[in-house]
Amino acid sequence: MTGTPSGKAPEAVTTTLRGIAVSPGVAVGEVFVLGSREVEVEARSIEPSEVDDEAGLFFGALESTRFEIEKIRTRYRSVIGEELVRVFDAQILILEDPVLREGTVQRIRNERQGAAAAFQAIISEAIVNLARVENEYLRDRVEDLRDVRRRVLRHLSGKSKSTLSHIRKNVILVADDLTPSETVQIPRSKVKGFVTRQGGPTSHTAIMARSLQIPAVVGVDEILEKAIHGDVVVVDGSEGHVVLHPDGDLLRRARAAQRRSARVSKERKRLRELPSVTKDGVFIELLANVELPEEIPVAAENRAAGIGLFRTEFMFFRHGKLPDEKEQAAIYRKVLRRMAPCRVVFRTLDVGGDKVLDPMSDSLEPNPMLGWRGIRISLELRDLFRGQVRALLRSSPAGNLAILLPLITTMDEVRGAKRMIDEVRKELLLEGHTLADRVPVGVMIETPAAVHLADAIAREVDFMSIGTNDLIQYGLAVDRDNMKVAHLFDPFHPSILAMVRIVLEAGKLRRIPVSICGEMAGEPLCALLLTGLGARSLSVHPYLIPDLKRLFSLMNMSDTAKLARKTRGMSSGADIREMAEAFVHLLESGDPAIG
Amino acid sequence: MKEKRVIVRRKRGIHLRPAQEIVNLTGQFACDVFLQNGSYRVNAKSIMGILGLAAAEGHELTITTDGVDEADALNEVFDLIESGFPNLKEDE
Repeated sequence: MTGTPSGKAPEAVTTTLRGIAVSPGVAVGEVFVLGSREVEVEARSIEPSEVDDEAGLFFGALESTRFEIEKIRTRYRSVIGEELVRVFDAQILILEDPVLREGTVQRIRNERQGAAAAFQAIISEAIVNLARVENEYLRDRVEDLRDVRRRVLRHLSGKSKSTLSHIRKNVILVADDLTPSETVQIPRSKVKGFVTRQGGPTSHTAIMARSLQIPAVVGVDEILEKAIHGDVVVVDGSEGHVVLHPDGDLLRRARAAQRRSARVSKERKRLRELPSVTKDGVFIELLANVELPEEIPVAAENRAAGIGLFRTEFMFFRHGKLPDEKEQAAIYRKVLRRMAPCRVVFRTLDVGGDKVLDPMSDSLEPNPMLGWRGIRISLELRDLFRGQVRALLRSSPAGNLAILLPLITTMDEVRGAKRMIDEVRKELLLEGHTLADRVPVGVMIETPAAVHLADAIAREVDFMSIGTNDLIQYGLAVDRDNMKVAHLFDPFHPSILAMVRIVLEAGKLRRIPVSICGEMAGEPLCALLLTGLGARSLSVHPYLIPDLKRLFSLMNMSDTAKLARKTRGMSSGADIREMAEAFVHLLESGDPAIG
Repeated sequence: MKEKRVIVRRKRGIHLRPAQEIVNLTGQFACDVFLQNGSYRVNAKSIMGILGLAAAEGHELTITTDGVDEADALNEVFDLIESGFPNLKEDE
């Protein structure tokens, strides 16, 4: 075959793509491809005096693109493996290509074209050339060239961030992946659903979609090839289906489902006002996990009894570095005031080393999840940690604040961090600041090491919080974002339940509160087992609160505790899950004879 | 100006990785380096150009170098292609 144009013919054939369902509900809308592949280029001729400026813009855009690619390469190195890292290397070589560089500058000079138009002409020529080649390995490289073209043109048009403002009504956002800064900018009223090529159940996109209560499917391999701007698409965030060009019948059903989910959200509004107690009167505290300050209203709306986990990493994602002490304190104060008198638990910075230091130089850890992150960074980059603790303590009079330390594996870390917090407190008092009388300090239990130290830890801290996502990851040796092993990420695994039990018992013995945060706490089947094991405080995505309240209103704690006891002799996660499912099924059907 | 012919000895031809190797090598020389496949001639410092050559196994390429270090460049580029890119695995 030769020279077939690689553009897609707009065929209106119904196509179903599968992905991972991460945020429930059905949505219908038009595709809006974020960072749309083809950027429109303004064709204008320039004055001779502008030639040097345009050439400068062009080289600047190449540099920005190179920086962007290197950042992605660095960030995803551990995930995508060496093979794909080389693709990024190739893209960088393309940016350095003398034919591309000199050709573009010549065109700017001789043809008096603007930088964008000149660059587009040169690289498009190469794309056409390569698309003609019969070798399939080579033809795949056309995508690399296209990718480079899109990136550079985006930088040239200065639109790298603002595409979201182009969104009209009722769109389904389609993207390779959404960055935290993008998800933050998403206009809630206009975006009806998300579909991304990358990501897993706990990716940032998934978390944001759930918290915005927008149906979403991630990990849809072919979505960028198949979806075209303006296509009608149905997103089923409960089943993990994405249907392009749905036929009339499907569309009708999808619209009906969309209306049903609207009714469900009405039902949620009713449920969230229920008290959080079981049928036999046991109170279970329901707190909210929050990732961004913008989610605080969602937590309040859903009647969270407080914030059980406020991640502070967003500041990094947004600003690229930690804001200074004053700016941080302002953010913390705002959150505390909004939630007062309810408790807000701030987890100190939990990022990998690559995000703390220069992303270019020091992020090549072969195994970042087992590397320099969490408390390990805080205890080494003491000024960074000190600054955050100072900001937290200074904001403490504004509300009900607690500090949570991430990724603990040794007692030295607990003591070292507590000592530093004490020092900072004394320092601030000497400086004449007013502080809350008591700021509880707790630790995350998210490593098997911390589980086995739970009793020792419980004697020295004010509270513990079980982070189930990482506990499962470290306990079962499974990277939840690796599609090849994601199915082994099993919250029902007997080892996980046993670890949770150890920590709950340590808390009970030492009389300190234990909360459970992490996806597991919000999954009704798991919540059932966790409360049955004795958990009385769950911290979940705020949108899940109404569902959990409903579950509690149906169950008797005495029965649930019996169910949890039964799991002790069981050795298969699948069996445990099945048993919990049967139990919930009986609850739903209102069978009084459970137990 | 110097010139030499070489046969491509890689099952998958000169695709991404070999092209990267060539560009990394030619970039070290001051002289111009060209590769020609049939009547199609490209700048061998340009990855886009080399990919566009569509050099498959068994194709004969002409290497041309022109400039101060043309002799060294010619030999090294020849050796790299002739030896079948020893730094790469067969399927790379």
